[in-house]
Amino acid sequence: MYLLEADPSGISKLMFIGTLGMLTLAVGIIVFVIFHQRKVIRFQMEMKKMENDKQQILLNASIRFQEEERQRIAADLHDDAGPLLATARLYLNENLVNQEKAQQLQSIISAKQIIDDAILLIRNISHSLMPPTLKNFGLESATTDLFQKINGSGVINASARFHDYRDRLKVEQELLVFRVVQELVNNVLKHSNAAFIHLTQNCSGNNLYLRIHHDGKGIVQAEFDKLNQSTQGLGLKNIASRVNVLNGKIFFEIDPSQTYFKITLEIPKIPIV
Amino acid sequence: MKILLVLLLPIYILYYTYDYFKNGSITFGNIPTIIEFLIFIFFIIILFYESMQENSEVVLYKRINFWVCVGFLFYTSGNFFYILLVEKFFDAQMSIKNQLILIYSIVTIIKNIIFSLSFLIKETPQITNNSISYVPDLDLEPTRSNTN
Repeated sequence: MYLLEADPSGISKLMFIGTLGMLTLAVGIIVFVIFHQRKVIRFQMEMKKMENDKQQILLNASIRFQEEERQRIAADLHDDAGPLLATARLYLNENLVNQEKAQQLQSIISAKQIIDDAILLIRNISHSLMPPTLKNFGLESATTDLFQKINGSGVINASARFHDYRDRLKVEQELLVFRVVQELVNNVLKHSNAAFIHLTQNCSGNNLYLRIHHDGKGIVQAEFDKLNQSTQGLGLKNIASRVNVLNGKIFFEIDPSQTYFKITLEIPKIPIV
Repeated sequence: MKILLVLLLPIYILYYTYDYFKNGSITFGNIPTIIEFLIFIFFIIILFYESMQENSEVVLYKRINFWVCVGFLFYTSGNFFYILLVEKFFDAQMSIKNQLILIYSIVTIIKNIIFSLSFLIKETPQITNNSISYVPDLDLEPTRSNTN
């Protein structure tokens, strides 16, 4: 105020200081904006790199899984179906016509038996690739069927209950969900020493939820994330990549009572059009 | 923010017209100009803030509109006090007036240089990442037919 009431030279000083202050402020704002934005970009790039690395790990795991699956099928075909068909061929060789009638009949019966075995074997391989129940009757039937088979083995008490599955998911989604469930159940059977495994399904909003409970040894989310980042845990990476394709989420938890583990799958619903 | 800008514009025009007729066309009314400068500074800061929030891979100083804003910010902030106090200098000595003109000219020249430089900037187009994260089909193709 003093300066405003002062003579023109005082006002001139005020204007000079004010202008300098305003310009410093402007420069400060510009520098801050530039540096902040650069920092944000650097952070985004780091995040992107991490995401890419994760995708790469998942991709490698998927490829490895695919190769292992192919090797398993090749081994099944080579070690089981191959010898069966070769034996059948031996029974049906050129000398068969020169043999006696009774011997011919015996050879044909044996060959028929072996061919039946080969058919059964190939059907089993085919069913392991794409369960017919899943294709024909959907996820509910296929999952219930899977759990009934496990329960029937007598090793573990297994049950599945679908509470609200009136609207079926898309076929591709059902297959992916089924594969995830299969992999999770396999893991439980292989590693957990559980006495029971129970699956429940329900819906909330536009999401479908599947929860697996078991009382064996399990993992929690932190361990799942850690295994997912590491080179170990091919099955878990496979689960993660499938859940990723489904745009879903998976949570590994332990019950507060510490008596059983819970695995929850959250899948956005895309019903069959 | 655009709505605020659109709302402010007619209010500002009305006030400017009111001030013009109140003071007469001969007298210089610095209040509308000060308001104009404040609006400019306010919206430039808002624009910077929005640019900071943007999920962009292109740094701000490689964009033309950023440097145009910088030019305007320099001009408005550098001449703010000049406009604010200009009435006080009507009766001042010629030497003081020359000092004011010098400050005004320096700020204006800086603004013009920044504007000119902004035209030299070659903007890199924003690369939009549309690639879909690829996860291979894990289900083997053969023996899909269901023959029970």
